[in-house]
Amino acid sequence: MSATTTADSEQAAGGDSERDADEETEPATALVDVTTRETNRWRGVTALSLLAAAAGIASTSPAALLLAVLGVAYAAYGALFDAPSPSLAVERTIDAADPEPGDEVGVSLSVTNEGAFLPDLRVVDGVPEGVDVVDGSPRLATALRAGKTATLRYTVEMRRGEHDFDGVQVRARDVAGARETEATVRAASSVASVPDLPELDAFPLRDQTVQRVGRVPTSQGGSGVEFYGTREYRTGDPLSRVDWTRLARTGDLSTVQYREERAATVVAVVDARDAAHVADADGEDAVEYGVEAAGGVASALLDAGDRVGVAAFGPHWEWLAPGSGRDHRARLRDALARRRGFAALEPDRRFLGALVFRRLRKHLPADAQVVFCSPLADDDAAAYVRRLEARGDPVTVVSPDVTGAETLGQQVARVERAARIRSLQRAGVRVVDWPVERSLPVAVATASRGWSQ
Amino acid sequence: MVAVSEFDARPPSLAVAPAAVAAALVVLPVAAGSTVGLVLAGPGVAAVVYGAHTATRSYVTLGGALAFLGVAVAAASGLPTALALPAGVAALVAYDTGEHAVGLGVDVGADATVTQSVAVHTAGSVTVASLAAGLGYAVYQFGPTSLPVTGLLALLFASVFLAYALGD
Repeated sequence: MSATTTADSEQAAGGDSERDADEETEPATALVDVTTRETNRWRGVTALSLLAAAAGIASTSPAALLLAVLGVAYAAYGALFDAPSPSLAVERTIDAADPEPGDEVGVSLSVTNEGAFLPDLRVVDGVPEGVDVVDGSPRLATALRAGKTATLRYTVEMRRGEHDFDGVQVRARDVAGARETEATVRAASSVASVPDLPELDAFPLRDQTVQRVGRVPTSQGGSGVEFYGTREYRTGDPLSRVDWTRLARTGDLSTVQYREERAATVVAVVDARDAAHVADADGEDAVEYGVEAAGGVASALLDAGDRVGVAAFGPHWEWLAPGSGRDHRARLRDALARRRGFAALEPDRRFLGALVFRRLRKHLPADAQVVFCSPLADDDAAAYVRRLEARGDPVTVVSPDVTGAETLGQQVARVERAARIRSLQRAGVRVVDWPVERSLPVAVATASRGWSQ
Repeated sequence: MVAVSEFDARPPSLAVAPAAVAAALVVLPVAAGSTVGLVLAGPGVAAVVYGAHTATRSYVTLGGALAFLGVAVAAASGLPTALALPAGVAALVAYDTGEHAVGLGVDVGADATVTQSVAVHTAGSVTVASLAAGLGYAVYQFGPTSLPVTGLLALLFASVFLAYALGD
């Protein structure tokens, strides 16, 4: 599918392309927020012509007097026309069905004049904040006769998430430019890019006592794989677990026990506070890495049969309760991609730390482990981790390292982050330090080698 | 990030071109006839073109006024009518198209397509100025010779007030 859509957007840049059925097409005509104002661009031209006339009288020069006529003509020109009242139909076409992050997607916007001739029409498309225009311009200035259509085409680079195109801003001036009308045409359309969860083979969890059969080794004997111990036979023990060799040797009936493995409940918490929106050397937001880490952890643990939920810890609170199964995996993938709390955009709300932290603690199931995905860019991040750990939720931190080493400030930030990691490790928290130029699986493998030693 | 994505709030060069051409058409006739006029009009039109290019409205406004005054001074100090009128037309067109370019720069920026808007606006401006100049020149040249200069002036002031009345 992506092959066809890419071809489409390439054609669209060159000229009219054949539209196929995959595209979102939404025509809109209603103009809202219409304001009319004077531009005052001809103010003072009368004064200038009076000055020219004065010069003409003083010097008895007919040429200067004639110049004064010119000025008056322009003053009249500016006063001649009413503000235009545009009537427009707007149609936006997005040439993509299911773009991956990084794909280039062609957008075209057609503006049809359904009213009188517009000598000067400026159109600005409402490109969503999260995508970048990489080719062409989402803006256009043109003259549009009645019934004619102007089309502007540009290409955006997709990013993870759901992106809503806003209304189209239009500004129409009369031919003299003396009056202008500004309005917005509602033309909502959206395009979403929902990437697959990142691949991660395994993610080691903390040991704990949990309730469901699964993968986390416990210090309890039962029906696992690894040998745990033997105990005296009790009525009801399955015959397959009776230690027959021992019975033959000593005559005592005993039962072999294996180490029980149980499923964990894990919540991947993405740090999305203001302080976590720090960019690495390539300008990529650390929250983007945090979401990638949460996705990788969720993918690995869901494959292993654990129950996984996700939460966004930031001004835009998001919560998806732990669950398992294919449906839950799809829900989780969708939540990580689309919800505002996980977006790599600066939050536009105030963060009430105590309130959100209380909400997180209330939502966390009693036996849940927490995987906290944070760049650890400030002391508060480490403090929240410590408080979670102190409450009895075993915490593992996955920390994308977005610090640089070029300027003094960057070096200070790097040293401070390293100190935070050490202090967390001393407090018994596992930390996966993930240098973002390497892949997440490598970082996880490196870190877990350190833990098993 | 790709540089294209950053909004460049300057007009495309195409939008500045009419102002630049008009600026040249101001300087040439004035330079032929009057040094005093050139001293005013030269920097004036330079400011218009520079202001239009960098999307600085105040330069365009002041430059336009200066250019028109320069032409008026040149005309008062003896520039022939056949040169002064085209120079005056060019000064007003330079201001009009320059200011329009600034507006385009602020609204749609350097990467947008603006051809039709510029063409229509320039055509409108040139038409109005040429009509006014042609009419004025025809009345001056072929009108009743008995009409005293005071009569012309009375007409002029009447039209100025008419313009005010229309403007309100």
